Amino acid sequence: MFNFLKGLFKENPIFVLALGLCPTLAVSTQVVNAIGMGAGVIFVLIGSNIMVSLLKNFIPDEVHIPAYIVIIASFVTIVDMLMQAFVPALSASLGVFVKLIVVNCIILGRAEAYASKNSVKDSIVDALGMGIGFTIGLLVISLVREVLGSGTITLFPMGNFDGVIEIPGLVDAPVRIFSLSPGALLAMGFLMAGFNWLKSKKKED
Amino acid sequence: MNNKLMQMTLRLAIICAVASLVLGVVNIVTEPVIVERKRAEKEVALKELSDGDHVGELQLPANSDELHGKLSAALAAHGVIAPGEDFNEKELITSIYPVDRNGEVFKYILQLDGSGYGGTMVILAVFLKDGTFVKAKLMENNETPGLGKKAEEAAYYNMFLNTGSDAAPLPVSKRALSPADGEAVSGSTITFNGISRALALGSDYVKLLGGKN
Repeated sequence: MFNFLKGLFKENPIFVLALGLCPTLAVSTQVVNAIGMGAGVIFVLIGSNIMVSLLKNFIPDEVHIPAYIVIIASFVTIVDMLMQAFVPALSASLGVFVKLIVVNCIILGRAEAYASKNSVKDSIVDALGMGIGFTIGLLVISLVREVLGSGTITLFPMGNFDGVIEIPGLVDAPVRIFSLSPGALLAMGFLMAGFNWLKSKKKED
Repeated sequence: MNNKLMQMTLRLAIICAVASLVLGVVNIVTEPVIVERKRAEKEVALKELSDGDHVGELQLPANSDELHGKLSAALAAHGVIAPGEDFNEKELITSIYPVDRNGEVFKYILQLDGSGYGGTMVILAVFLKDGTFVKAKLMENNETPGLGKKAEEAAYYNMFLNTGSDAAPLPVSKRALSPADGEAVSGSTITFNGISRALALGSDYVKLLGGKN
């Protein structure tokens, strides 16, 4: 259980380990992007952790990094092809960042630091914890940026629902900077500070 | 030593082979869906760009030295390519759709390949017979969300409106834009360069077609 929970709070990839920050800052303009990116990262993390853990005795130490990259790149390509075929709007919205999951430090980091040394079962739990922790972090940043920067919350369209919830008062006068690149850094900085404050408060208690 | 090297190579090769096999299977499943989706998207885009007028399809002319020479000269004059720089218009203009009303061609829709930040961008652009840009739609692309992705919005192309004729050249550098437009494309210069150069090529090409259908 601790193995799963550590990824959510104590070792949250975004707010504590500061891993995968480039895609985090770039795609967090809309909540729907965070959900899609998070789902993609969870899938790749679970897949690559399983494979790395299964093959840990087969992969020679000298070529373990190229072998991990091949495994990770394969899962990312699968995600990319599935997204292009079945959720094209999300694929178009995430653009190059789907492909860039290959170089997301969280994936390679967990393969190297955890999956290559632990059992398949533990590696799946680690991947789930880290993946969900990354998704939660991304969702919080996206929510702050989209609500303040655009006055909307964009989700997937379903039936008569066009997928966009407008926040009265903010939709007509949003704080535009939060949708732009500096806004990503501002939101990230304040949220990281808040996260650290919560952690230190918990420690004191 | 040799044995160890062989073993490493073999194991890495096995991993690569299995990965290729899995990707091949996924590709067999997803490719027909992607092709059909792209075809449907293009059909909708052509209908939208033609404003309901009849859209035909023109075969790209066989390599013509005369046409290539004239196009090179026009592009060099507009600063799109350096004098003497080689390019292949057939790789950059992938489809030509003449739009006619009562049998008379009055504009063209060109499918152009531009070079963006995330690789090739496919652009469908509308030009009048004299090369004047009318409107465009960015189709497949891998541009950065929030930056280059802005080129997916119709308003992005307002900076090119009514340019492209001999009297008003199409802007192919940020310096040729108004300060407001220049600011709008800052942060996505590579996307702007790719799109503006593709549009300039399309515009000069349409001028050379001379109303052909």
